[in-house]
Amino acid sequence: MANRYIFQIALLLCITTALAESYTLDQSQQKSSILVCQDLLNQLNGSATDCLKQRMNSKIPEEIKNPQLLQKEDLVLVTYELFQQIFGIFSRNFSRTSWNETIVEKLLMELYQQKNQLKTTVEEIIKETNDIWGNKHILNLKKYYFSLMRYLKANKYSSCAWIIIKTEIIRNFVYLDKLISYFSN
Amino acid sequence: MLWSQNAFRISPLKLCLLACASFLFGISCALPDASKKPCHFKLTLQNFRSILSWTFKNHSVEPTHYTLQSTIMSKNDPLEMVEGCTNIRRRFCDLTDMWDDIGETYIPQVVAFQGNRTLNSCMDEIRLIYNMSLQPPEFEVEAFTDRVKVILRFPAALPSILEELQYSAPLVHKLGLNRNISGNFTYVIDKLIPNTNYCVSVYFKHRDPDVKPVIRCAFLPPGNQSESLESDKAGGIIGLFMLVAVIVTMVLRRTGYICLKTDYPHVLYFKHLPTCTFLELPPLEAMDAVEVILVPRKKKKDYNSEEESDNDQENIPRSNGGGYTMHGLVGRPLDPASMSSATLEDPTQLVLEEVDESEPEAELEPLVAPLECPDSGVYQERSGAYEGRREPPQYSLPGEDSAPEEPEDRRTFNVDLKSVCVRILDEDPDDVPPVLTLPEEMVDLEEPEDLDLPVAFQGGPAPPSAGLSEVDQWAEGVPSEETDSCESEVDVGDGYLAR
Repeated sequence: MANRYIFQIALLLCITTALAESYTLDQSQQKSSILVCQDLLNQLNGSATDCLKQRMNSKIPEEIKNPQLLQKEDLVLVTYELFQQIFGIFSRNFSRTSWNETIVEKLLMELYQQKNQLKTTVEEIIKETNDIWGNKHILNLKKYYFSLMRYLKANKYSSCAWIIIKTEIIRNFVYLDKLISYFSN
Repeated sequence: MLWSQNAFRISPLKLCLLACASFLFGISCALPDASKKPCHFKLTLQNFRSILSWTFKNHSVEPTHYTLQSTIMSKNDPLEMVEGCTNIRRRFCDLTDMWDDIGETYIPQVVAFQGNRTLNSCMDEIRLIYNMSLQPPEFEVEAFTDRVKVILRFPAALPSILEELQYSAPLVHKLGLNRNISGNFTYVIDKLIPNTNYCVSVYFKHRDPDVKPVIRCAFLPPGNQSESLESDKAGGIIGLFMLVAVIVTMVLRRTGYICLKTDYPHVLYFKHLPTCTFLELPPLEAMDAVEVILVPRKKKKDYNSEEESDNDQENIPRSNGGGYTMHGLVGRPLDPASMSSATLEDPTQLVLEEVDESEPEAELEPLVAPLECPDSGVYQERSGAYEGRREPPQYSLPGEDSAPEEPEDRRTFNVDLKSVCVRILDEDPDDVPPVLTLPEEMVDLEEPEDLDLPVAFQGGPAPPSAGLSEVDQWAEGVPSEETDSCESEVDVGDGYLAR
């Protein structure tokens, strides 16, 4: 029984390592995509100084802030999960904001493209491991973005809520860029 | 009543428009207007320090002091006073230790005071990754022949944000910046062309376009000049070293530590003499050639009688204390023509012959004796005319080999009588034959007057004139069978007779 699990873990490590090696070739593209998303978010108007009272305590996972807590094999899954969750957030109702819809659509398109590029790699990892839910880093990410969704809903998708969420998503992209740079060096 | 119904239908629309207007107004109030902000914040990375500076707009009254507060967007915390930036007169504040999260959005607020009166306040949001103006560190440039050395000056303690910056804003040459760097960092740009001006600029990759980078130029010296200077230095050092070595060698030679001079006697410098001359007699050392001719005479029974000793020229064997005798030493000057080869200037030679006592009827009377006795003891055997009737004896000096057999009946020996010691086995062991010694020594003879030697051996060689006269005398008389050929005697002094 123990030998069976050892074999699966070893197989998972080999697959993720191979995928990680292939993923390194797309890191420059990922970094450029991150910069595009950050620029689009900065174009969305709204000042955070006016929404100091609607601030929330951020519960971003420590492994996103500190790359040393992640393995190189986790970078693909973390990147895919992050793009997917942000895409889901900005797909919600932002009508109470004065944001330019074109800018939001561009943002959604960029997130969708990057997610699709990683989807094939992630599906292969899922097929081999068949246990993506066992990754604690992915679980922490899911919890974090669920809290953001809950915050928006609680504040009825107000402008300040969206400004706070926008500020938090910008911070996510900064940490992701730091993660990719860390593993590329 | 109809008018009242129409009034009711219009009022909801108005309310709706009013609400929309108010709603829009509210949204506009929620959106900050940058142009309405009373101040402008600027965050700059100066020498790896985060410096926040501010400038108020359109103030009629100049503030006397300022107070800075700050908070972050990721936490619902109130504004906090910035340590060291409370009631300050300057318009900037060092926030290196407080603002260290590159992804965070910071909210600074500065309040301007004039005395105790608050003039104005200003608040803004600042993101380090977007709003920080990265100024390059201070650097220096040193020029060499084919390379340029760039020296970056880092502070003693680097901020934690430096690690964030290396991921987001690396320097152009991608220097590995980390918190362990301190002091000066040197970067060398090599493979450059000499005698060329090069300019160097150091800046962050993601720099503010408004910030102009600092450029420092350096002119590379020509390669030949530097090389010639180096070669001149090397030549000077080598020359100085050689001069010192020469001086030291001269001093050591003078003092005798090296190359000691050894003054050998001239005679020991054999290298200048040919091998064939090694056996030759020195020119200054004359050798006397004496020919000993045995003259047959009557056998005398009593050798001690004075008459017999006065009448004959027989060389009476005498012995002195050393056991040497003059027996058999009869010399006469040889005919130069009889000599096959003569290298000596003095034609006199001493010829040693053996007196054969076994044949009394024909007994040779030895005729003398060298005229001169040179200092050296070189003995040379010669072959020459021998006037004796018998074969020359196998005579040998002490310590030397015997003379080889001669095909002729006479042999000639050149003997330095001063160094020749002749020993004869006498019946009377007490009798000591006379000794032919060095010039400084006296010949110890018991009866020096009985000797037939024409030359007296004294402390020095005989005068050449006496020797020549003796030669002439001898040449005239060469008795081979005469018993008494010498009638004249020359007293050379000190008991010796020269005949």
